[in-house]
Amino acid sequence: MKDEEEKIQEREDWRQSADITPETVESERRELEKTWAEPRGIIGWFTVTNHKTIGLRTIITAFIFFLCAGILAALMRLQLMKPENTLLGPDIYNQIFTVHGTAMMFLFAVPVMQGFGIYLVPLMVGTRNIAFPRMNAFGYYVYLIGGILLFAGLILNVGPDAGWFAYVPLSGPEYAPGKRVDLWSQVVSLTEIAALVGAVEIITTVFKQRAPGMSLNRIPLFVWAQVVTSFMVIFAMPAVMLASSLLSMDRMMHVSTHFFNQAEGGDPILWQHLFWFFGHPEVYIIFIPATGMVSAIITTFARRRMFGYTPLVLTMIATGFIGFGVWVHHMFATPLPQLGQSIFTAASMLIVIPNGVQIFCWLATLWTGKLNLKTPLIFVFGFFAIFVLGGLTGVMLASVPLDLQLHDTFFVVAHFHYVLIGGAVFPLFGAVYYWFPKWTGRFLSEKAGIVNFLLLFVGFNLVFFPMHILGLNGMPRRVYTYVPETGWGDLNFLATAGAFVMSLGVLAFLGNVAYSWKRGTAASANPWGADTLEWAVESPPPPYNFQYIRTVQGRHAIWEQAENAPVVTGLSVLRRETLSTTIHDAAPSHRYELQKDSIIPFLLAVVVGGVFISFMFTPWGLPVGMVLCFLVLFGWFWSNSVGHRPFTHGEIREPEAPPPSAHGKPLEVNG
Amino acid sequence: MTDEELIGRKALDVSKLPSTLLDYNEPIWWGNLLLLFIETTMFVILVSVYFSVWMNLDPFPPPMVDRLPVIYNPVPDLTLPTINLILLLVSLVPAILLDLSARKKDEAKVKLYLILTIAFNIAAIVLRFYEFDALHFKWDDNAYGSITWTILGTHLLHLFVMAAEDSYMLAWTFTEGLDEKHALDLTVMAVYWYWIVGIWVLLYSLVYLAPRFL
Repeated sequence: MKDEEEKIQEREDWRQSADITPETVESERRELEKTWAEPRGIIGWFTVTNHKTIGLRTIITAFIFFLCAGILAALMRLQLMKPENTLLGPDIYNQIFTVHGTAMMFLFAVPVMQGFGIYLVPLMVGTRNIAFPRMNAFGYYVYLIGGILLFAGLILNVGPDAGWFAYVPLSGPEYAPGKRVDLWSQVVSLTEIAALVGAVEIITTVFKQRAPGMSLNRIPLFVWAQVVTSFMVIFAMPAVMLASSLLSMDRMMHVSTHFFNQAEGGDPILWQHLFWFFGHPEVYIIFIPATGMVSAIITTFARRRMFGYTPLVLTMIATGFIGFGVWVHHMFATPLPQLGQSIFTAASMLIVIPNGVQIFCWLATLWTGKLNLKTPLIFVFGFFAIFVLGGLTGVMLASVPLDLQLHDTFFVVAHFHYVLIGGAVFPLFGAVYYWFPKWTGRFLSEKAGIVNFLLLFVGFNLVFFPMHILGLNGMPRRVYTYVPETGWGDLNFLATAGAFVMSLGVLAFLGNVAYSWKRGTAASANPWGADTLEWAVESPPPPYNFQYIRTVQGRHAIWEQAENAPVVTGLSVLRRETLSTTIHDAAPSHRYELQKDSIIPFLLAVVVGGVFISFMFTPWGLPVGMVLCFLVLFGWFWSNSVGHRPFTHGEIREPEAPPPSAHGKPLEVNG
Repeated sequence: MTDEELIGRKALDVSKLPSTLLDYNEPIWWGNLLLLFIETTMFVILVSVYFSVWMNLDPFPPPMVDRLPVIYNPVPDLTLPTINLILLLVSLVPAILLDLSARKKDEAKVKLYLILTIAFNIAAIVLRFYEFDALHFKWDDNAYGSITWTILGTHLLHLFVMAAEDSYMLAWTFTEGLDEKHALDLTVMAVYWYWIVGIWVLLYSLVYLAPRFL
């Protein structure tokens, strides 16, 4: 270790030379490849910190949880296929719908969107790795442990059974004895830790590591979407983490607090406030990244600049703000003051305005563009149709009298599946078709893509459209069966048939991915003729992303690149170094060394997971866990610090040149 | 426009740029700031839970009748918590000096102020344990007890975290000396400590002053 460090010190100034000749490109690339090489082997698997590996892992893991939760949905549909069906009993049905909802929200929708951000944001802003690579790895393992915990619970018959929003008093100590709800609250806390660290990394990367010239008004829309979402995560997720911790404390023997206990000054409605203060922004945390995907896909496949870049950014930010002011519309059936309810109705309807502006900007872009009608764009069309329908029922539900009537019916189930599947899953599938060539160097099959789309689109509408009518007819959600006299049998049968079609659609997708991963048509660096920087490197990108960090001259970094635009040189090829730039103008400010690979993030995740699991059984999990965390973090910091740049005692090491363009002076451009 | 195609391009040479700036240009400074956003949100939510409990209980705080002697107006005591508040405020002096000497990379002073900061930190932790008695309720007596204990406990957790970070820094500077990376870490940790003290001024006013004077 020491020798290696000394060697690096000796060659400290071996940086990329200012002359970009074939010889320097070749020799420097060889060094970069060594410096950024991904660790191999089983232990290596647990030490990787490259954002692309972690991002892709997050996406794949999230899709596996999506499949598991989808199987649970299919089981529910089978149970409801006919009146008085006996496939599933009430107890297992409760567990299944709770785990389905929890997994889809916490283990699929949020992580998969963040996984795309982790993979794409550093590439799109033109840097070499995400801001805090070790924390990034830590976040992934914590998420993985949380997800495994949930499904292990279900298999062991300790699956949570109080609904994905775990209302008290049903989830409180009195009505939910056993460990099921405790398991739910630990899963929620673990996955939210992952979401929070991801958000911090993404914001920092975008604020501090953009390529020179990518000022705030030139950031790609996908990246803006990730930034807005990350800020929402930061302000929303603490609410649910805290609420679920308070719930565990209320439930725990020897702790027995009274936060939600009416008899001792607590309040069950408080739970609903805390949960939905997170829960509604959560919808936008899922939806806004999807709008970023839609913007990216539309720009590329309409082959023109996005119409209304500024309004689109502003609508995302506006949605982010308004999203925090609508949570009470989930609580219209509680005894809240009428004036308060009216305010939340108004806010809920207000959110239609930014979303409407978005849709019209996209339509204008498509209308005036030269369409390249490929699978990603077709999925975006599906998104328009389904999401707008879901939005319309959303406006209906924002009105208090109608909401009271439809509260807890299948109409609500239909509404939010239209919004979430339409608003997030369709763009997501489109995004997979769009970025798959970048990840693997191969296209997904277009023909299979069309089949995938048609099955999914038709199946989806068959499943969920009848649910509107079922809800209007009074069928409550979360019932494990119903009697024939209700007359709900036919529509339920239709919905179940639709679920089969939808499953075939998902199978077509899986088959397509499995086939194309190794045998698809090979793709070039920029096969779609796209505009953002991830397409400026080979497919799949090398571990260091950019041998030469680009400079950016416009919103569409590739399309608007100036002739012979300079590229960044002078970064170390022996350290994992990248360029840090200023927050507004992205002028170079300093060189930033990123951390190396390490097993410690994994160890810390194991300890944190252990703490949360033990906290289900004893409050002593916390102090013991804290000590363990401290020990692991000690190792983390220490190992991080080896190989630092020392300076001689008491002497200030001035930079050899004044820190330039951060303070207005231009950097030297050679060549 | 892959990397091979860049041969012959003009070069924007950044080799002369510094590797540490010790200010808000550092990614870690932003990481810390965002962490503080998360923590602040959490405390804001705890405060709103406190007010929710206040709305539910009349009189507030409720009379303490579970144990003898009965207290009819059990507002929290002020003496010890106020001493601890003053202690935390005074601790800002070594913390600011530590911050400044880290920026100047003055190793001897950094070591001195680091020891002082840790001493204040540990004193605050010890006093905090006695502060729980000033509340007159246990966490499981009622919702008022639950939320006040949680607020004090959560803040205590931050004191522990800071003590742990500082002791790591102490171990590093005394064995390996001070370097750019750790000077930067010290300035970022200083921000964290200012926040811990600042948020406590608000929480102290809420937990100790509000029930007595509002």
